[in-house]
Amino acid sequence: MIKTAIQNRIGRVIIACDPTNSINSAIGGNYAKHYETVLEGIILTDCANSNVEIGTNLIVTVNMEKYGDTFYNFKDKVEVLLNVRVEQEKCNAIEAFEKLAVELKGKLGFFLEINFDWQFTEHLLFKSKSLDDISKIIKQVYSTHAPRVLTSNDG
Amino acid sequence: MEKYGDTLYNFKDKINVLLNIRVEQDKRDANSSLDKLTTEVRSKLGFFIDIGIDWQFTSHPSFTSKALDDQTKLVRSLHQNHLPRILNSNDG
Repeated sequence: MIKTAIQNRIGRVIIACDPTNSINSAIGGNYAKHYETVLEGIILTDCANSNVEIGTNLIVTVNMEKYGDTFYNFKDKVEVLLNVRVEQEKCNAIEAFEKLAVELKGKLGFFLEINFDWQFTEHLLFKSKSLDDISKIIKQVYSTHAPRVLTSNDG
Repeated sequence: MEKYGDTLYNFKDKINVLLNIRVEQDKRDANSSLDKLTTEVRSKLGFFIDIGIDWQFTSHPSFTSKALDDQTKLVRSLHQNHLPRILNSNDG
């Protein structure tokens, strides 16, 4: 998923140093404060003098005085930028529902389609949650609630 | 004058400081390693992604005031450690 997002959305990876050492990144924990990742549109001016975005740079900037420190938790920063967590969890959910449908068919004797209403993933309250909380919510539905209501005696 | 017979050791170091070409040399070395990294990443990912360094920081007084060897260490760390790590490792 990340690979696809990179392929589709990032044209160039650029590394830079901040000589003022002003970076204090909130993503990735204490060992990842010294560097940050940002996406920046690559703008070209066309023949009609209009600015056209032709791609995106992924810019990784490190505080100059911390240039020797390892870039821990880079994946965490890129995930936030590319915002692919929901798509990853959707894939996981679909896979889990397919298995559950097979299991259910074995028990009930007929096929019942199981699906997710993903509308809530567009809501601001959901989007404002951390990536890990986003995963927890979706996982809870497909790995706990759905199997419980569909296959347990209580369901 | 009293040392006229001594060998002129480390002449290159003195010239390096005078000519101020260390950054240009480092840029040349970086470009070569970025080319290799681009090829490596392409073979792993299956698509081309351009890789570069934003050299603006090399004009900043915080950088230019560093010793030449420290400048080289810093630039090397970008293209020999950080970029390969974020582009090749599992964490990247």
